Amino acid sequence: MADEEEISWPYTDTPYLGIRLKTGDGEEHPLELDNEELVMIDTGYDGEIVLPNSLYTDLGFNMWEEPELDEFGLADGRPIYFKAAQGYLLIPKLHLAPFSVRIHTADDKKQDTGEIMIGVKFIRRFKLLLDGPAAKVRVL
Amino acid sequence: MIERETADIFTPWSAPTAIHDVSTLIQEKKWRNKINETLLERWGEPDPRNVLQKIITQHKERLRKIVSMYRICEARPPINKIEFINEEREENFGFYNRYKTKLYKEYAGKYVVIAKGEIQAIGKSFDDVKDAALDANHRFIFKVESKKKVRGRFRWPMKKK
Repeated sequence: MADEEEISWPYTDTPYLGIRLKTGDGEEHPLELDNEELVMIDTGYDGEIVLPNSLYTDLGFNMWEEPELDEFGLADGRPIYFKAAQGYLLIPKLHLAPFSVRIHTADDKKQDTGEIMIGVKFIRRFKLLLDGPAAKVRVL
Repeated sequence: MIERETADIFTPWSAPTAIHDVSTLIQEKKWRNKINETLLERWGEPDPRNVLQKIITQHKERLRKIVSMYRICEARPPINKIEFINEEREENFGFYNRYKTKLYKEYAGKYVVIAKGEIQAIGKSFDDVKDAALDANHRFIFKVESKKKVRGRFRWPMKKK
């Protein structure tokens, strides 16, 4: 029996997932079609996806924002407030319809994340295997 | 017989101002016919004036596209745009806070767009309102409903600035 094509992403220092972002008016990231961006999976983050301030604004998520800030707790107990906007997330390798997600970005620029991170709420949709010895994140 | 042709500002190639002999004129006529054939083949139109008009229309269209692309690029963030976004966000947030109670009382269950410091659209679904005030720098778009505040953990150490 032929092996099914493996869908995986690298798991080096941290596990990664290949995604594309889409706004309500169709703006996409990364720009090249059929391209994915490897983003870190952070199991310490309860939300779906958090973006750096600059990317959030560049993609125009400020046009799809909700008025209430979301409150999250940092490891040292201090609160961090996130702006939340409606957006869409695609996983090109899975060929599925876009997932409607709550996009976060830090409200306070001093607390900007500096990179895109996928949180627990998003990865709950899949069965993922963190294959340490093979240095891969695989979809089961 | 010797022919004389007068200059035509739209067809400069058919404009010999001097008197020519017959063989030169035949040569010129052949040349003009060839040009007309080429124009007909390429532009579907033998008359150079109409071809010129077509070219101008096409260029106008291209220019219009370039101008609109330039406007789109200009509308994208980098430098001062961020300040406009922040200003409008504050304005929108101020409005939301002032009219929050009224909003939840009068428009519960509806979708609302707040932009430029006021309500821009109210609708039954997200699709009804999603295209409102797209020329603003910032919008709040949400369903007016009482819901639990979103809370969670975020264990990632924040970048220090």
